[in-house]
Amino acid sequence: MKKQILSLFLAGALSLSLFGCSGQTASQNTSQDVPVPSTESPSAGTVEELHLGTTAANDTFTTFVENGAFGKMCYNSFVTAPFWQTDPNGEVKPFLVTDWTVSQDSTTITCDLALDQGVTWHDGEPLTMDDVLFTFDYNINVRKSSYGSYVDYAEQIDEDTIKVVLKEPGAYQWLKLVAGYFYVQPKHIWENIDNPKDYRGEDAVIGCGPYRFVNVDEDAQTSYYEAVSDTYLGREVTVKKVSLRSFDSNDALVMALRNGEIDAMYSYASPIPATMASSITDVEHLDPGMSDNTGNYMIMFGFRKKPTNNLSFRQAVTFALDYELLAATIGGEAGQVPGSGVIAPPNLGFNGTLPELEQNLEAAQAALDEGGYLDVDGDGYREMPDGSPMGILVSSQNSATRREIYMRIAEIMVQNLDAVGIKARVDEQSFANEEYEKQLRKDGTYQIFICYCTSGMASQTSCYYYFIDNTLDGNWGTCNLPEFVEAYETRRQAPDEKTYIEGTKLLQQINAEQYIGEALCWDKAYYPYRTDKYEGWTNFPGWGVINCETWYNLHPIS
Amino acid sequence: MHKKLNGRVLAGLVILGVVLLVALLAPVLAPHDPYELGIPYLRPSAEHPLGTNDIGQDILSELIYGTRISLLIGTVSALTVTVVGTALGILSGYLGGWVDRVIMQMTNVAMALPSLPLTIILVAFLDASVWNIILAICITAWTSTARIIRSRVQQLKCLPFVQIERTMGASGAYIMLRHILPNLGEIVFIRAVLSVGSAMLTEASLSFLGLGVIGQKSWGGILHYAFFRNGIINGAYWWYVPPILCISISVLGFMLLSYCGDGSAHGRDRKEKGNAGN
Repeated sequence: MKKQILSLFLAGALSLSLFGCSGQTASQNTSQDVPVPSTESPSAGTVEELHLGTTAANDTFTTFVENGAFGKMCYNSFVTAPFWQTDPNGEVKPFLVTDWTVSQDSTTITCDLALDQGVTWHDGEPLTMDDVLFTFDYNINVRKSSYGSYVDYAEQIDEDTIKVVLKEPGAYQWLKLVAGYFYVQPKHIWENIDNPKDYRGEDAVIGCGPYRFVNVDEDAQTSYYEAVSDTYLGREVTVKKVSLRSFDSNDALVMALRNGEIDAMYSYASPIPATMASSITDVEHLDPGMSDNTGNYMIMFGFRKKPTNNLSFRQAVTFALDYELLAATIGGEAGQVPGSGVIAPPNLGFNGTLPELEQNLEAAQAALDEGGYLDVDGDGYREMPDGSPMGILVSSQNSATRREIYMRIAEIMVQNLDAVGIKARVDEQSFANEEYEKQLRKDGTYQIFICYCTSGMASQTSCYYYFIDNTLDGNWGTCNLPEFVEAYETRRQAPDEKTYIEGTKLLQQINAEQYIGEALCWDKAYYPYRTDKYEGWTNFPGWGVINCETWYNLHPIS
Repeated sequence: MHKKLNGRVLAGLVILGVVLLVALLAPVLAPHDPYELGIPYLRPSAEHPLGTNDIGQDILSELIYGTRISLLIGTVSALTVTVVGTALGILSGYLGGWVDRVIMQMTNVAMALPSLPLTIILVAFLDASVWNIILAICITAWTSTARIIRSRVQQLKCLPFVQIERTMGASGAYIMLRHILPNLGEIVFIRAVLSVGSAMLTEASLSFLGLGVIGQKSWGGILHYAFFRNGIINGAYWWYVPPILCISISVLGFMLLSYCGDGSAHGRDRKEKGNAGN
């Protein structure tokens, strides 16, 4: 009897503690420092606190690296202030740089800066020309960011004007690359830090953007921000506070959105998967936030390895893949079979005249025969032209959020290649071992590499950024075909939009002929948000409703 | 010696018989090749009774073929764990002294380690394959068998028939193999049966976490993709409920079978009590 009473007591205690845990909200779990959401009714026209959800972790708080939820939020002209930002169509727009002119040879950009508009760092120090010059020097020599890799130097012209000199012509392309991403950094903080990459001091989050970091509740995985003033660079800030809560999965995030715990989602280049679309469509007070995705899933062929350095082989692989299935697996019902130019339709310079990719096993086999890849020993699998065994490794980008979809793509590809006599296997190491995958990319020793072109990179420079074999553009690509390299370099130096578009079209044409890489699906991006409390959302294609305009346009529904 | 099967054991045997038959007859029973690609995310229909997964593979066929991997990993792991655990338990219990101390220290250390996290780490470091998963399960799962067997051996070695053998000059190895081991049959069987269920659960957990072999069909693997490819949030219960049921029912089957020694154990208890009364 005693035992039964004890069991009942324990069960009761356990139930109560579970109930307590499940009923605990983020605000209940906060420390004293955490701002408690205001109970007063929101003032007319302004949003008292906007609750955002993300799948990035609230674990890295520094403006030096662009990691985690904080780092990615900086892309929205939020805590940090970029020199330029973009509009919904990807056009470069002013921010700290209020006006600029590009030299005729496209190497020099003369910029007027908003140094006289009362912008201050969040620790009270004024934003000065020293900070601006320091930022360029710091990005070139210390931070070694891709923004700085193109820049030779920056120098002061007068009290609020600088001249940015590039290493080679390409101002138009460089502006597209840095707009929204390249932000000014405080000299008084970073000049004294010896190991800035690992520095996590309280002042590492100091920016001069419209919002200041308040604190983070690690238990609730929520960070808090507040507007620095009612106006910023002459515009009224309509969102007073922002909370950014991290979720372990998109499933949990969608549940929170449906329940009204958060108002919208923001995850850089990681929209809600199209296969979850049914869970966010036709839900009361929820807009799925659908737009054409500028980014896309794709494969790259390795030009440093046999047989993927051979045109016939690349052509055969391209013909062997089942694009209908890949489109459905990646993009769900809205998934579209891509064209042979890789670049997705919403991007600048998209060439709609190129043919759609199509599975054609006979053509694949003919290409393999033509390349000399024959089944010499009669085991059902083809050998290399010299008679040695052919083993193809299908590797993948290592990504926690995209692991399953990459695995599925790899499975499909291995089966598709098997059907034309190519013995392929999944490179399991690339899925499981981040260091291995990093080295694989760095060395360029992959044969077929599955990866994702982010929406940002797609609209800034296009997916060819990942294909090209040079160190200026990261270290992913291996393509050294002279005509491709020449076309890429010519486009990089494009002085204007027209030339850029022509260059992009040429690159797509070359890809359609040389099979450097292939898109696997053109899909839709879903960044859902609630429609019952606020209005004024602007959905940037492939980016979502949380963007550089949200802070000035959002209002409570009257 | 004829033992009457009790209802629980019979139920366990029926369940495991069906599971075994499904595993053996998978190519006959499965309506499709489980690796065949088709139209993704189909709802259940006459052609695909449990619908299709995210790459168009027939879920029922995956489930049927998955029985093989789950059973293979379960039984091979259990066999290994039982052999190792029994051998160490007998040596430790019979020889005593420093052998016992060494083995029990090893056991204590192994028992102190959290088994699932350790298995996850091992699987993550080893190349993904069925045999490495079995190895990772076995490394942490032998301890309780060794301890239980040791206790029973310590009881047995004090019994008169063992003492007589010793007096007659029989070697330790002879006594362990000829007299101790046969008297452990019931415990070894129960431990082995329970180990199969436990290994199947561990395998399902590993596969669910994505640590299984890519592309291989197992119940945990099906559950993994149902969860991570949005089956749950989209309400595709026909995708995630069947593997859960299969795992649960199979483990239940092994649990029920472990009641096999119940009757005789009770009989022995009664007899021992009777002897104590005398």
